[in-house]
Amino acid sequence: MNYKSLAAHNAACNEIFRQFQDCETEHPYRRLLGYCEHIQQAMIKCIKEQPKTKRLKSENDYGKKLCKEEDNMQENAVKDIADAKEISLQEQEEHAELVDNNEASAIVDSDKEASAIVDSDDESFTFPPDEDVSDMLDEVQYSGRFPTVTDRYFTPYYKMDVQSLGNDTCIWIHSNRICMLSLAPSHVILQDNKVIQKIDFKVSDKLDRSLNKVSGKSKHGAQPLQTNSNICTILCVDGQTYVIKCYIVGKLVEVNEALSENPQLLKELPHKGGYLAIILPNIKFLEDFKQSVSILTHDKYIEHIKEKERKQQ
Amino acid sequence: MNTVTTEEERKIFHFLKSQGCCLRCCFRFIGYRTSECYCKPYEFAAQLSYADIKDIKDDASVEETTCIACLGVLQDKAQKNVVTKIAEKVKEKDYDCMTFTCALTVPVSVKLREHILYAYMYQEMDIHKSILSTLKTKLQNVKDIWKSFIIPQLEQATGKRADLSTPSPFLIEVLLMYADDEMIFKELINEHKRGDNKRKKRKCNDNKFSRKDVDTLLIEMTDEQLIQHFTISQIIPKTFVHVNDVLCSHSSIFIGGRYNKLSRKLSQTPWFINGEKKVETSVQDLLCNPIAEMVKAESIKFLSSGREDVDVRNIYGGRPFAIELLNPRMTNITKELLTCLTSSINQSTKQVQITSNLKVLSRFDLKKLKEGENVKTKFYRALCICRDVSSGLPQLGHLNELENVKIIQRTPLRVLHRRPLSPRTRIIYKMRARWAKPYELKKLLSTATESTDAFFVLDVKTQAGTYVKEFVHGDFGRTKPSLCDFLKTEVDIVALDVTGINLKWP
Repeated sequence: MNYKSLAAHNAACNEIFRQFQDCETEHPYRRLLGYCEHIQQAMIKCIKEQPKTKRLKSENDYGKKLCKEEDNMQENAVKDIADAKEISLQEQEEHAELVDNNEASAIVDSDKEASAIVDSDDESFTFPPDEDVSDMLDEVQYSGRFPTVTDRYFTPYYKMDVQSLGNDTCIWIHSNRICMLSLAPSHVILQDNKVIQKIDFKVSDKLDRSLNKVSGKSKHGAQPLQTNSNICTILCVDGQTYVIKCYIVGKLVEVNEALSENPQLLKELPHKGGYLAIILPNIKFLEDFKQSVSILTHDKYIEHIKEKERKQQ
Repeated sequence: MNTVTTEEERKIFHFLKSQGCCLRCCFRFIGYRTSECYCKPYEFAAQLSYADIKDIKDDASVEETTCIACLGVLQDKAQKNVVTKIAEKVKEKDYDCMTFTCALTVPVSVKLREHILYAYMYQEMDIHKSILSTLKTKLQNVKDIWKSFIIPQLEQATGKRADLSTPSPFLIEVLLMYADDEMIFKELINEHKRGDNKRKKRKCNDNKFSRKDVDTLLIEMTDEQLIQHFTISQIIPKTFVHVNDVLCSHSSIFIGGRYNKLSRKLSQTPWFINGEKKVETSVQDLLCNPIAEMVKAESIKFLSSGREDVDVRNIYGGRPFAIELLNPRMTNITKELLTCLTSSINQSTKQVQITSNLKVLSRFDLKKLKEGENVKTKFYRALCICRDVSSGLPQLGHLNELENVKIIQRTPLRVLHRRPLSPRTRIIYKMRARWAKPYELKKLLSTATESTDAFFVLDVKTQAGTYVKEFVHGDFGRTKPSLCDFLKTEVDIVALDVTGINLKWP
């Protein structure tokens, strides 16, 4: 380790470093026995903490910069935050820092909104001429019917008669492997057009799927899902309940919150909001899922339904 | 008094010479700063009163042996070939830059050797310590002196002008190596291994001594310790330094412009899956390859103000882009050359067209490019479909009256696998919608015999970062409100074009 480049460190570290140097020169032999060790430890600690302090400081600066852009109303409040930040910087308290970070990110969010409205030379920027758009259709695939968003991006897989007859679920897999859960068209609720009373994402006393929180692009903090994990319970007005499982190993990204306000939405097609949850599957298990015997592809599903109808007749 | 008297100068001079220093090093240690004494050391020595003629005659033999301090870095005998070697290399690499700057790397032990010599001067000469330590702090770096007498020769040999102050974008790096450089450290390394704790052990594992290690060592060690470790006879060099390598490089040049993308089957950057190209070509390839070839650059980096999806075109104004040319050989880029490049690129493909003049840019300009991506408003044109309008057409008219509508977009499923999930507020500044005319839809209707669908053309002006496809179809209800909500019917997108990016560029 080289402590010689003093310029890179802050004043506090440099002071300790000087003490260390003095100690070593004053005690040329005792230093070999670790006489100056304690000062060295302090110095290493100081240097290690430097990046943290720096980061804190830059966040603080950033926060201040944003303050200026905020309008007067918010300015006072934000200043208080900035002041609080300075105190926390001095104290270097862990929890103070945490609060600090949250606040900073909150400001960033509102800033994105605010700054983006202002685009200085915007007025002169007008719509392009309203011309013939025939050439837009060059290279566009069209065969008399234009597929829906769901059909364009997703491939459906089906799981039939889960726990009760007709509790058929559809697992849609996006070309980017994101999965979406919905009822299969053959589900009893859709077949009998039942009225849904409630869709309950609280699957156990401790676990509420709708409280799922994720962060970062790898979706940290997501609720982990196993093939037999429950996603929700659908309660119908006729008293029937249907438990929906996920069948996929992965992470829960989000549940369809719109369903809590309007449970009937589930009976719509997925692209109109009729889905239950979004799941990021574990890529290792995705192939296994597709090959699984109990999972039907779309072709097999159609066959299965036809078979079923024949039997009923 | 810290000034050096002539008598002291004489003493130092003779002492150093007796220890095996070359003339230039002697002057260096005495503290001469004039360039003439380093350019023509013999002539200069002859003028000095204390270096008598006899000595100068001996010089011939002195200069035959390697200098104990600089290992030959400052000796004409060792440096004779260096200039030719560098000139050859520069010629071979064929850079057209008319200026150059030069960097030198000298053996690690040079600094240590200087310190050892000083330690002996302290010990064996009766000159006051304060004078010697003043000299020690004033000691000129070997590299600077090397440059002062080599660079004029280099200028002549290469025909280029040296420019160390700006500095010139063309850099010649010269690496001088001494074969047994680490020999004299061996003992020190062993010592450290024995005496010190883990910290140093890790460093010394590879038996190498870096410049940093030498610096640390020199601060830690006293002169007495130095003398204990090294005797003059131990550090007498046997060979001269040699040129290990000469590296030439030129700093990046940036070229910027705007492009149109006229194909819905062209990605912006090469798309590799398991090392195989998924699509034959890309916007990047089409634009960059001809330019890189022309300027003989080592490699290129493509930069742009945002990007289009594969199936999205970019028409009218075009998207701002820049190309970083890394280590270009050809650096004199004229307007004519750029015009010529533009037309050759535009003729080479129909998928991509350059719509502006190409321009040479500075690093500073590039910041604007990212601003264009994140801040500036964009125009899009979408061809939309209203599904099943048998029960009546929706009112397009009121879309035109909406202004500055706030929408909340959750990260679209399309990109959710590689982006964090978060709701973002975006603003749709303005919209202009009209029903598509039958002749515009010829290509569709020739195949669709009977359709209950209706098509309309929507121009939107949006805030940077709006996902327009999702704004149209609502992304499973995850973008609210969407066009479906405004028109109260099911709307989907058939085709999308970028029609404007509000950035002055290049």
